[in-house]
Amino acid sequence: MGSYPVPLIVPQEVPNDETVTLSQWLVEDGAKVAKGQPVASLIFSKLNLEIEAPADGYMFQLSPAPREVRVSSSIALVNNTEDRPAQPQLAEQPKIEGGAEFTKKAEALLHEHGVSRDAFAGMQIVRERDVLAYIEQSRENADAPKVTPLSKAQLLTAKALSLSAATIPHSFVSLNVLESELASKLSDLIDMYDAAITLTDMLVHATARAAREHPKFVSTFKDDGLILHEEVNVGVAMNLPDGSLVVPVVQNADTQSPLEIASFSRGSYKRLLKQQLKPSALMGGTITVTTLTGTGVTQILPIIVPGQSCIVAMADPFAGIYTLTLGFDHRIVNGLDAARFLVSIKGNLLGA
Amino acid sequence: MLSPTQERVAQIIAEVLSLSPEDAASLRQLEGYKKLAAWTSARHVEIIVAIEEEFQVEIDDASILRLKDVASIAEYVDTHGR
Repeated sequence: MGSYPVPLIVPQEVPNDETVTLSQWLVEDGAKVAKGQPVASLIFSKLNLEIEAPADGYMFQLSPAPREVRVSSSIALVNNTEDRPAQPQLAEQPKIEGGAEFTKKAEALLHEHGVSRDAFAGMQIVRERDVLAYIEQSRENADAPKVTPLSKAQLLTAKALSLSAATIPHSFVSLNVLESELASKLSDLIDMYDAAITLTDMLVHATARAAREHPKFVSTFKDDGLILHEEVNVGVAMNLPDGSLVVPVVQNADTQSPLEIASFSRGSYKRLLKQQLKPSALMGGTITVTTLTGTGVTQILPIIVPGQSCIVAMADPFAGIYTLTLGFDHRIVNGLDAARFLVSIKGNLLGA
Repeated sequence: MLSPTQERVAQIIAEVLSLSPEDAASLRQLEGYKKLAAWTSARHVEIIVAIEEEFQVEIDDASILRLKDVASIAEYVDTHGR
């Protein structure tokens, strides 16, 4: 059977009305209707009117309600089949040249507030109240907090730390190290290697060697146990000048000298600054060291990298004393084991 | 008396570390990494990158650690620079 849609036309009930308000559809879109059945409610300037289906069949709406519609335009099609008429039927709707039409008051408001006509694209008739609503909405949007996007690196950091905070029950132990003892040891290393070794290099070295003796601190928690990692790969947290955080990994750090660790760290940082560090340099960490020396803060409570069991942290000394902190996954180890591990790290720092 | 390379290296270090005139003067006495608090490991690498760019030279990882003062950096540049 062919399709013979009959348009539902907005009647000219009031002589000077150019538009009316289609306030409500009285039947669902696509509903079966009978000729003469009220199908839509219209509001003219002086009266409300229900208009009737022009034919028997299935009625398909061309406009949502409520909506301003032009007199003599088609607002629905009644088809003789259940199929929605083809889209070209919409072309029968009267077109408004040049986009929306504006009432004089609306036009005046546009000029007064410097609002673009483009803001009303898709509308047929724009009245004073439409422009006022737009201006009000714009003010509300201007008052809304501005969102500053995060860098890609920070988004990755955020994702990892959110996962860590949500899944790992963190606990912390700390101990003190005399600044004078550590400075003396560092000076010895600088002289011995004739190289710019740092406290961070010393801490990575000391942590890696202690981890070899405490395998649970180089493990990944699973619901039914632990995965003990063969390799002590130490991630070294590095803060870039723009504030982003990157963690290159010293592979098999327990087998490397302080000089080798320092060489890797400085080379990695140089490549980071030159944006030449390969992604592979960030992979495979099984434990992490983070420091904030030279910043003025004296203690860090660090967040464990997901998939690892602990993280070692140190900042600046206070009153001649460094605070060395171990953040650990309390599902894997308890406080006593954590204390022993941290004491072992301190022993390596001062004795290595 | 500093060589032209040493003079330029000292200038670059003073710029990267934002040194006071007194500290900048100490650089000229060829003191370096171990003497200046501002000369941290991160700043050390920033100095290295600035030197690489200024003198069009690539400094290998092992050498980064040993270039701790104006004299050693200038010597490296004179030896390896273009």
